[in-house]
Amino acid sequence: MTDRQLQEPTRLVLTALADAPRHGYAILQEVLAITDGRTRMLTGTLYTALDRLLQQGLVRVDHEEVVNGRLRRSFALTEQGQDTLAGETRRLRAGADEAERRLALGGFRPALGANGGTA
Amino acid sequence: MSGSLVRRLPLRGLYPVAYRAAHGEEIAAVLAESVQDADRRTAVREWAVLAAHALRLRTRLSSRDPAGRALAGAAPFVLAGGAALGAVHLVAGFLLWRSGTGVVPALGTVAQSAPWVAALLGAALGRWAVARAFVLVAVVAVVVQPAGPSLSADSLLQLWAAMGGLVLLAPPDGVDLSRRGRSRAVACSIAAGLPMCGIAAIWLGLWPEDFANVLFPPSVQVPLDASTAWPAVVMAFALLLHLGDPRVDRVQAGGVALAVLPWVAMLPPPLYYNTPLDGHDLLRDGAVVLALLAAATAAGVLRRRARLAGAVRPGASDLA
Repeated sequence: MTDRQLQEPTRLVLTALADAPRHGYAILQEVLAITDGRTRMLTGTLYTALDRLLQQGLVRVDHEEVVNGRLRRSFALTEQGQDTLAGETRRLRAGADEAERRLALGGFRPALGANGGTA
Repeated sequence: MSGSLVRRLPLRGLYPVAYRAAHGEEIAAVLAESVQDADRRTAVREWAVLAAHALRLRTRLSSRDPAGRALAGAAPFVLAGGAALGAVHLVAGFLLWRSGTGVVPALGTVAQSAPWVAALLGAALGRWAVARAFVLVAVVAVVVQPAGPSLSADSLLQLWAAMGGLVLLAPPDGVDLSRRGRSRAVACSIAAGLPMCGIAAIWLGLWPEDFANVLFPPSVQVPLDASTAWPAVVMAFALLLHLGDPRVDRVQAGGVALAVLPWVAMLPPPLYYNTPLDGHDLLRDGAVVLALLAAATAAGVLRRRARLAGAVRPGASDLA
């Protein structure tokens, strides 16, 4: 596995699976929720990402169930997937912290909003 | 309504049999739920992206397949090479036009080279879809030659067409668009293109009127011949760096070799216009490219082993 920066769909899928295993449509709904409705991931984008993440060992099939006569897989993060997402989160946080620090030095007061900024 | 539209479009049949048997129903169910309340445009987009997913799996060019991963590794460097070639081609054309040789780059010739430079700019900004669109324009310009016959050498056009094909076939989601990946591609393009631009400028500045038929003394001819190998040297160095990095997927790193191969059909920079490539040149360039590939692969593999050995040695630090 590479340690390179994750592409947006990959990061969103990993984030959607960070707290619990989910099946395909639930991941799409979770991505919509994570991004406050800004990103509506397409089914093809999701399965392209899932195929690659399964091959890279970042995601595994958690369980399979039959719903309405159809087999449905639920996916979960592997330990490697958790490490990768944690590393990406640290990288993004460092970038955001640095941006805020520089804005403050320039006399700007970034509006942190309800989220309270970065930890 | 959108759901019925999508149901009418062919999809499951596009997937390979084994994949369809294992996951076809699951994907169809997710698609049906996704387009339930979607407008017609979104539904067609959903179908198009899934159809592309199916075709990549069928052709084994997805980012999970070795061939797709190799292409994804090669694509940024193929693009870098194509853009370098485009820049030199434009510079050479401009110098010939200014010198009154009668060689005037036609619109089609510019359309074949300029989009490569624009594509590299798109990739440098992380917009791979934009880069692919420009490469497609360049490839179409080679195929249809919109403004009459191209003045460019045939071998150059074949080189570009091959490069464009590689970029377009690479799975976009597998391409390294990190800041480091983009910087490496741009650096490769500048490293390959800048010396070639210099050679073109010097040559055409000295002998513009008969640029294709100047007889040089060996002291000049040998360095000029050597300059045809320069882009391949740059790409081979990129291959070495990738193969030598244990953090990079080995298949993807090996794919960078594909960015070295097209340079078999390379010409000295000032001869991009109206100069055929003969069999002797092809053999010579082929031998040089293969030798570079072998040397870069050997050095890269040794470097990877050394770094892996350094990483597992207790107390060792990664200095590279």
